Amino acid sequence: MLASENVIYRYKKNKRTILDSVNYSLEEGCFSAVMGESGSGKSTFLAVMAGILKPLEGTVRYNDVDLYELKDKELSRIHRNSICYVPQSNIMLKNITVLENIVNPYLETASDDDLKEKAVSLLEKLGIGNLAGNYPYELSGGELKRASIVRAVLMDPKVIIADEPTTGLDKETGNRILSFLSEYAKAGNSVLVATHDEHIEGYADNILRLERS
Amino acid sequence: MIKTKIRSILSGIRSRIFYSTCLVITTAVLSFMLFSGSIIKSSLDKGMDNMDRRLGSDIMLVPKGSREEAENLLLEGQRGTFYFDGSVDDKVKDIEGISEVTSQCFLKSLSADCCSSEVELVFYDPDTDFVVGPWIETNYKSDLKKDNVIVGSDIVTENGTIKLFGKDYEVVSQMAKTGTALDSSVYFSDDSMASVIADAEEKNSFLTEEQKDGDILSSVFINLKDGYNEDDVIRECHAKAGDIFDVVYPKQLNESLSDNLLRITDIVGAVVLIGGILLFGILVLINSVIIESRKQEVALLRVLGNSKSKMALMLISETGAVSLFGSLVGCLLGALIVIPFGRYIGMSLSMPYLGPSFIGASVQVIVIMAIVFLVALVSSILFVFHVTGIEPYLALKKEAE
Amino acid sequence: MTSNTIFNNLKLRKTLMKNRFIVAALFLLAGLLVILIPTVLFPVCESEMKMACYYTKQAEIGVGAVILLLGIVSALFSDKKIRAGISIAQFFNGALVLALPLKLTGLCKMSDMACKAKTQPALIVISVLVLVIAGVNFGYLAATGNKDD
Repeated sequence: MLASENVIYRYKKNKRTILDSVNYSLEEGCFSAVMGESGSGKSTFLAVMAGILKPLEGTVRYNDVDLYELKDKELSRIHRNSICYVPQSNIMLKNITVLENIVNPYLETASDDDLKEKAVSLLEKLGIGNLAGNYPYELSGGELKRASIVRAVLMDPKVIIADEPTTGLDKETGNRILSFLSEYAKAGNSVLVATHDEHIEGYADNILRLERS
Repeated sequence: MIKTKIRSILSGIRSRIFYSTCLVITTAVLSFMLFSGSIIKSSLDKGMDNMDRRLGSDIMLVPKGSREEAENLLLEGQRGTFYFDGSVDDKVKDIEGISEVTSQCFLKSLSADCCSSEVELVFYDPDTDFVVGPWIETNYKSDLKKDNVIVGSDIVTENGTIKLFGKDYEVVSQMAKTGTALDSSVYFSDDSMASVIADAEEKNSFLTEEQKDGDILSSVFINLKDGYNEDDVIRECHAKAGDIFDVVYPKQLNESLSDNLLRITDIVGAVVLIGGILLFGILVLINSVIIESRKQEVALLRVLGNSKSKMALMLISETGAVSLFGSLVGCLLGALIVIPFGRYIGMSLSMPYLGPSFIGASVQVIVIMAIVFLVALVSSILFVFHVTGIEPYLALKKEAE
Repeated sequence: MTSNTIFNNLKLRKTLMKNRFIVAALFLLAGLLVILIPTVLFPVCESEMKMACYYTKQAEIGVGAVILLLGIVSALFSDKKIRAGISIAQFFNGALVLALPLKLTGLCKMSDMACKAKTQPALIVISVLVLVIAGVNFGYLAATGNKDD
């Protein structure tokens, strides 16, 4: 479904090769994890797979379409409907509520009320339904991460790529998130996460280990 | 769809409320300066045009020693009374080189409506006049009868009459606005002068012996034929009428006014230009901060499925909306101050000043808003392209660091 | 459950608190200016005889004092409805400041008199500002829901 072929990535400044001919395939209904020590290229790999960081060489294909050959508008359509990336940092606008942060990016795609209803139901599923009207600065790190995930899954993408979704969270919250993602994968979607968390072994179908070059 | 876009724009503005407020203030100040400057300049220009037409004679003969008073009367509207012999116009009218001659006589009167306010009375000859006539607004062709008057645009009448020296006079026409003190003058036919002076005496108004005499003039306006030299004609006038007059050159007065106007508009222009450049610099700074600080937000929105062009449009729309609002506030504030204070501005500058019409001012507002909108866009465009062009992951990574 | 029915109480309370004192200060300043404009800043014509502009000046002192005092009063109440009512009153006070020189008591007739050239425009400016402050404050209070502070 989503596959990389001979992907090479090097940051221009330090010229260190982060990804060296990586070949990987993410199948439908699969919950995969990428693990490795700091600097091994986990986040870079996820970004390349998500279509938001162009590799130096190699291709990333989604349903046989090379993501990096697409025009910006076509790639945006894929990001809106099919592949959703959840960044490591919880970026939320501080002057609007959590619910507005979740719903606003999609306002032109669906009706306001439908989106809000769906968002609140997903927040409740993750245990933070009562915080929808609060402002981001009133939420803890774990609560913000859960809100970010709800934002990612709101349009039911086929692929979720999440960078360190449980880092810095307590065990219970981390498990809650992993459980949610696992269920999402079992519903016929694909999930790829980068993590240090050893608990992933209880949820992931397969684990890719990267080593620092 | 439009409602969604507006919500989206407002949401973006609210997310950076401090910087958005700075942008509003900057564009408001810029618009205030541009609007006020342009209104003051155009009002001074209009006043000057009128003055040019009003001072419609080549030379003006005034009693000896009263040149300065005459110039002040014409330029600054200070009330003045000065007289020479009533036959001066007859003596000079046949001089070769003179194409037309008309005369006026000035008197001061307290208006009964406002005791401390003086009105300049001007007695003129409707048969020979070429100075007052062009200014009469309504199509008044009849002879100006005794007890009939024409009033300046600022004179307030009650039931079509004006009270002078305790007597009511019928107002038959009103002059167009000149933006000078002539707007507060009352014009009589010279035939009325004797009866007006008699009315004034009856009411025990103060009159000088000269005024009581009646056979007096304050000024003689002369237009020359083409090809004749001013100095030659003036020499002839002295020969015929004697050394009893000074000469005022209305066109020179106008030139000195024009020079003044140029100096004032240069200063206004320089202030607006320097202020405009500084404010443009501030706009660039504010936009750089606002837009650069939204790098991660833009990157996130791109990652969530919004294209580069959509993000650019979003940023430009927000900048445009804020600058339009600020510009409108600035223009309205400018209008609130400059238009009501117009008369005071003209008086302070000692220049003729004719304020804008409602339509004129509205057009200025639209023009200024469009200019400021474009300036705000130009000040933001580079940052917009920079921020939307960054690889989304690299922008997000910086945030994580 | 929607965002309209779930309030961030702390943030709203803080915002209303700021609004109350800022608006009171603005009305206080505006009232003071209405008093000072025809008396000190842009005084009306001086004359032994009491002309129209003298009576306008006296009336404006009265209206200015009312605006000032209502401004102080509005700071004392946390009830949003009372403050909205005071804003309505201030709106009409602003209209009165404008109506006095233009229509009700009037000024001198000649346009180059001090009261016409300076006092009138200054009163026009301050009256419009009072109208705007009162109108915006009323709109803001009406739009921010039922929360008192």
